[in-house]
Amino acid sequence: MDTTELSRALREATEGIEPRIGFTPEVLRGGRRRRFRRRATVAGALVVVVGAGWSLTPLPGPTTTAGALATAAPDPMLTAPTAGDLAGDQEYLRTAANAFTRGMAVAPGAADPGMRLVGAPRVYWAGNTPVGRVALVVQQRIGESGIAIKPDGTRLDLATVQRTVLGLVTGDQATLVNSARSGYGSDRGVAFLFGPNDQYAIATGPVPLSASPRWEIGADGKGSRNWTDMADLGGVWFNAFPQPVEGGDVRVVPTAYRTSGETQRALLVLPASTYAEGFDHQSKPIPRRTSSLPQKRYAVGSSASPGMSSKLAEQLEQAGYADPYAVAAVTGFEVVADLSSTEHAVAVEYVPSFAGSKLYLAVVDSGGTVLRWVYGGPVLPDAPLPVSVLLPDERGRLVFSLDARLRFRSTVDGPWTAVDSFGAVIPVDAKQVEVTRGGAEPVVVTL
Amino acid sequence: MSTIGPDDQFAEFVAHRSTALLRTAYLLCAGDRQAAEDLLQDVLERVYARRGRVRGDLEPYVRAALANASANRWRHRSRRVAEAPLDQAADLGVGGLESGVLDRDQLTRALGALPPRMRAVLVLRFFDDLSETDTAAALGCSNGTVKSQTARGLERLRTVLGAENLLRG
Repeated sequence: MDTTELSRALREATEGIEPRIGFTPEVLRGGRRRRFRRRATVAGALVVVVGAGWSLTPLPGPTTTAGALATAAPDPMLTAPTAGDLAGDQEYLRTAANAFTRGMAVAPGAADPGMRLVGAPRVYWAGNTPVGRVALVVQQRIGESGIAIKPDGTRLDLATVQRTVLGLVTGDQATLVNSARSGYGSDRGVAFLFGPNDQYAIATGPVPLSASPRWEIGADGKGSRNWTDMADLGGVWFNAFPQPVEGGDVRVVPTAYRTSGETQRALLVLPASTYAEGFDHQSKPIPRRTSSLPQKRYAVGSSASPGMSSKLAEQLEQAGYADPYAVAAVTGFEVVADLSSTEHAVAVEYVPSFAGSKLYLAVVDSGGTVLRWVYGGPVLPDAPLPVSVLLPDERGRLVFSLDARLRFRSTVDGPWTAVDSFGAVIPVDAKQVEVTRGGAEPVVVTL
Repeated sequence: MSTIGPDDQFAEFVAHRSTALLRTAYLLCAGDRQAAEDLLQDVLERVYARRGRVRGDLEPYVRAALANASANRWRHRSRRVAEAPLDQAADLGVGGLESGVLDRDQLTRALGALPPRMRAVLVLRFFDDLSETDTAAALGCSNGTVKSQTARGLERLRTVLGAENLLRG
């Protein structure tokens, strides 16, 4: 590997890393708070230097008060009797525990300091499922010292926290499929996907659970999730999806919350078929863009529309286009065009699921309020005309293709009308657009 | 056709550039996703208050601030008790199926083994594609320091990764 390859490796290492939903508003709120604080006198300020040439910035002191350290409750997984209809099958329990030990020795991250296992593995649940014998095996990991300060100010002695790793063992050959460490939000429960195309789900949790395979998008671009009650197998919950699933699209939530859209209620879902993919062990499945256009805003003509990115995910969700259980708002390019002195069209690329990028067009007023939405369909990689959306009320069609020369015509054998830019709002009766990029042959797109 | 400048409005800058900036922060934090988000949010909040005083493009300024703040973050972290279970920051990586390919886990861990300044030099040079001069300006050091840190950083990466032929730069 030379330095070019290092650059490539660094880029690959960051693929899929996207800010969480609401990041921009949080930054703005935080920035305003800080500006307010900067103007106030903060007693007991802590001074931190940020960067060469930066001035000293006062930060408020710790908000927690010193006091007795709280201790963590014992993890019942480490002591509860083995559950499941194979709990009495000692030979299978030994086989499952051995498979867990073999698998953990070579699992990604096995060499991490926090992954040193202590004691012996124990089977938390073992049973027959519609797809064979399955076991969930748990083992304690080495503890750590320090203090965790919870949001309510409680100071927790980390030495009292029993850290664990929970593994899924499946098949007659007893193989460790995946594992989940405590501390990744696994206190809400863990859902393992396994089998061909991740079609089976087994989950832990104290309350009835429901599973949804994906955010289903209709012809109008609006979506919904179909939920299925998971079967109670006596200590764990099981579901067989009727079709292959993309693991990152699956959500498992307590049944009572399956329509609430509260992402924080969702269980950690660990797909097996993409086990090798994620740095965060699949805890934040983030769909990828299918467009190669840079994530910029492109203005048609002289439009100075501010666009709508800072609230895009929330607005799409309110309009029924975005999954309330999405864990990240993956956005792409924007194309803005003026429709009048008070209205703008904003075509935005958004990735609502692992099915790829979609295009949405909003008509917004000068205050940024969305007046209408139009669904623009999938954004296809390397499409000659990535943006082609009919505006509402027959106001024309927004077309755009970066670095291309565009012409359109209203009959298939009529004269071409050139567009003086990469994009335009063309007449509603336009039938074809010719796209010419560089010295390549023109491509005619029939609308 | 024009591309609207990213610093016309701070909110738009954040909305449009936070993905790229988060990726830089992710590498500066040696693969600690949560720390990267925290670092980026912290830096952007600070920049928000002083953006009117920034001359030129906002993005290089923010990248420089990220690089410097990450070094400070690591210094602070080494002096205080852990505020959250450290394994939450750990990385399970790729591994397994793609043997022979330098995976995310290996690379970020190897970056984590470098001193923060050295890591910042490599990230700015080879991820953000900054020139030696721009990297020096961002980190407030000389071109010579960037050169030497680059050479030493590549050597350290080679050692950490434990593969003689991984880095020949």
